[in-house]
Amino acid sequence: MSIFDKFLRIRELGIFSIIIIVVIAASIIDTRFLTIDSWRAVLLAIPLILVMAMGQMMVIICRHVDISIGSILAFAAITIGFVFIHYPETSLWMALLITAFVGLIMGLINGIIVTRFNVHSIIVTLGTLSLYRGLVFIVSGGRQIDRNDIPVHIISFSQTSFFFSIPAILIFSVIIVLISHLIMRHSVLGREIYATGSNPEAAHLKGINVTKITLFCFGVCGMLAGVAGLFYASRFGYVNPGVTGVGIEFIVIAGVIIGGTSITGGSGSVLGTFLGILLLGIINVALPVLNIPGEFQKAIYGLIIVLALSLDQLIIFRMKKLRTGSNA
Amino acid sequence: MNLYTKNIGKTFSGVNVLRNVNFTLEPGEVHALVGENGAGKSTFVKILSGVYTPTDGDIFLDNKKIKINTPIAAQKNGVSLIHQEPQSFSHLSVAENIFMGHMDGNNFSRVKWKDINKSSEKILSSIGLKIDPKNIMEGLSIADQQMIEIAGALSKNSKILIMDEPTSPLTPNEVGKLFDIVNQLKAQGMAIIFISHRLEEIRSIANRVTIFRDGDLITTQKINEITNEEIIKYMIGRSIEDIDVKENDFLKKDEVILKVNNISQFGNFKNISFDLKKGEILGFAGLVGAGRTEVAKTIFGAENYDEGDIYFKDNIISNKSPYEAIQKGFAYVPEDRKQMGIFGSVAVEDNITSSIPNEISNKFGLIDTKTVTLKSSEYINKFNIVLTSGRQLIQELSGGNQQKCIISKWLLSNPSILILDEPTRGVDVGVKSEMYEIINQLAAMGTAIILISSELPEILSLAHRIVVMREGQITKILDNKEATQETIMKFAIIS
Repeated sequence: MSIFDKFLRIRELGIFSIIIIVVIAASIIDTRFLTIDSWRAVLLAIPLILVMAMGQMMVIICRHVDISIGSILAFAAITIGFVFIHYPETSLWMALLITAFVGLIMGLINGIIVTRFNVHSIIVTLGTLSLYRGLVFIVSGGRQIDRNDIPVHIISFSQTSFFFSIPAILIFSVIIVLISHLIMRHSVLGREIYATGSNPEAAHLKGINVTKITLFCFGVCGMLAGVAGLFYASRFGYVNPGVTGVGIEFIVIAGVIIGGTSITGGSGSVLGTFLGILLLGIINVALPVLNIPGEFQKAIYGLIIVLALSLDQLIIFRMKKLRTGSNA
Repeated sequence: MNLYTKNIGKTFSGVNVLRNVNFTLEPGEVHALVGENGAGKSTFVKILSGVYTPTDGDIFLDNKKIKINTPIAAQKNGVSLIHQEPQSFSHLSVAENIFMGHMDGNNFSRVKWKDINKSSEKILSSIGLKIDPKNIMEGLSIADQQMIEIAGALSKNSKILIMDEPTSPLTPNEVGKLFDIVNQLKAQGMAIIFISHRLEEIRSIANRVTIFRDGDLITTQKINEITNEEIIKYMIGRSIEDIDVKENDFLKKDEVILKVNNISQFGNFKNISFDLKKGEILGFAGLVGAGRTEVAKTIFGAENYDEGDIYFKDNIISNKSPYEAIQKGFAYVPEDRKQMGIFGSVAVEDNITSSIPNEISNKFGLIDTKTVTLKSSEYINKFNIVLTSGRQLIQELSGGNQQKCIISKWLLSNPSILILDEPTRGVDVGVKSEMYEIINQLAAMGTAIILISSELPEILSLAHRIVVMREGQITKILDNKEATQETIMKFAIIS
């Protein structure tokens, strides 16, 4: 197999090309897009989404979907907000642990309903999306967590130049991405997640505990959404019961799918998901830089997502043709 | 490894599908299982491979009693099942497909890619398969996938291999390759259970053959001590209800209403030709998968054909949809009653009158419920359909009564050609004989009937002529007078 051939086999090639196209196009329209500031903005915008996308990717690879992540994020964020009000000296690590635990429980509840009662995950998590959001209002009594409620050391987690002016939040999320990669690509468990999503019936016959695998994916997805709740509090400096995390599931799921994860399960990669989220981050930063009027931005954002998905499929199809052509 | 079973039995919701099976399997033998559909052979191998747990009896391995409650327990005892349709993970690599479920270490262990790739390569080359274990499974042929499933069984050091109709999805060339490997494994001491409908295959590969019929193990014989005719006799065995075929006046007129000329549907059936006369009941016999249903659906316009012509009343026709066929007077009672025959959550009356929307609605297109009740009650009374009221949901009726409703539905549209696909499947004996009477009456009124049935006594007691199909082709058209269960089976099984 030639190097060119191997290159064509890389699934992430499509999304990678789209990123290049978008960056070049944006730079031609306005050179301001190439400044360090824009890229800083991109790198600051993605950690929150990236962390959630890792969990969502696992869920989608094992043939499910979790729509409730926005509400899990909000619940974890509001919970940690109240912890900060009463115990302002709570350490970053303790806060991470608390939000992760809260998210884990909520993710597992999703997973248990899906596996135990055999209800489709879209329906289950559509229900818990509303249920968990309701809990946010009940627990908070509608009260917003303000900037002065959140301790300085938590705010600085996403602000200060920690290492070569890279914020700690980015380093932390990159570590989560690397761990996800190790699990998905190199661990027995990860391969069993792919097998379960690829063919659940065959996985069961091979002795894989499909229920356990599904619970793991929903648990991790919830846990990372919980952690994203802390990220949110740190980065935006407030938590609002009616606003925080609303609609974020759309961005996360879109990023995962654009990154090449099959909605029907069994395939997808951490690298692809990373690139998918990166693309969305770039578009998000590029739109205001390019002076696109505010009222158009949301529509154009959506349009680019749809175009990217179609273009990716087209590139994959062409690559496959090129490959089989060169083999013959 | 020696395996034997003692008085294995299996009951599903009160129905005894397997009784007192005493079966032995020796290392280094290929043991064929044969029997009609529903004879119990598939249930039996599912018990051996842990998919079902037996209701009665015990399984012994090397004289030690063992319990096989899950597929994993079976695999730990060295028993592997090769499925008829390979169970593959198309997104994963060949090596992963071989080792999935039994990789070294716990969940968070690193996958030893080098080891599993190397072992896979070794196993694959031992069965003569040249595939890079790192390749993705997607796009491999069924035959290769089947070989990879066998490789998976070898990687677990299986001693007993159960193959459930492994040759049915393969081409003759691929069957040859499979048999080379089966012979090789046999020489290495593997015990192999081999299910097949094709007697010539069994003859070329098996040492012994066990015949199942209606849930009983009838006999186990050495293959060279039993003839094909004897095997078929053991397979059929049941008593034949003697009902004479009813002649009728229409049939004597010899009026051909449907002429099928050399139609083919690539991959499913080839060169199908037959005539159907007014008042005739034309039986279609053959094994499941012989292509009978596909032919029926094609005539009804539910599937397309690639070659050939269909003539209806001497005019060439081509039904592009069931709608067109119905307009011309065709009707089709499908095999899968629940999925394709009834509108389950709709009332009996509405089901019956669903074939005549124009007759039950007024000029504004609104349904007139009085007409619905009137039209449907005619057949409800005529066929003794047992129900509480016409508004009862059809899914609450028994299978036999549902079937009567479906036939009523078509009779309301006055069909000239009625296609019945396994009309008495899952219907009790009483309703069955009522149904036979209805079919005979319809023929006497001039309806041309195509009757697909896997029950030979049914075909023999109803059909004037019998078309026998095998693997997508018509092997023989028999006149009722010359047809017996043995002759039909012969043309259905042996090429």
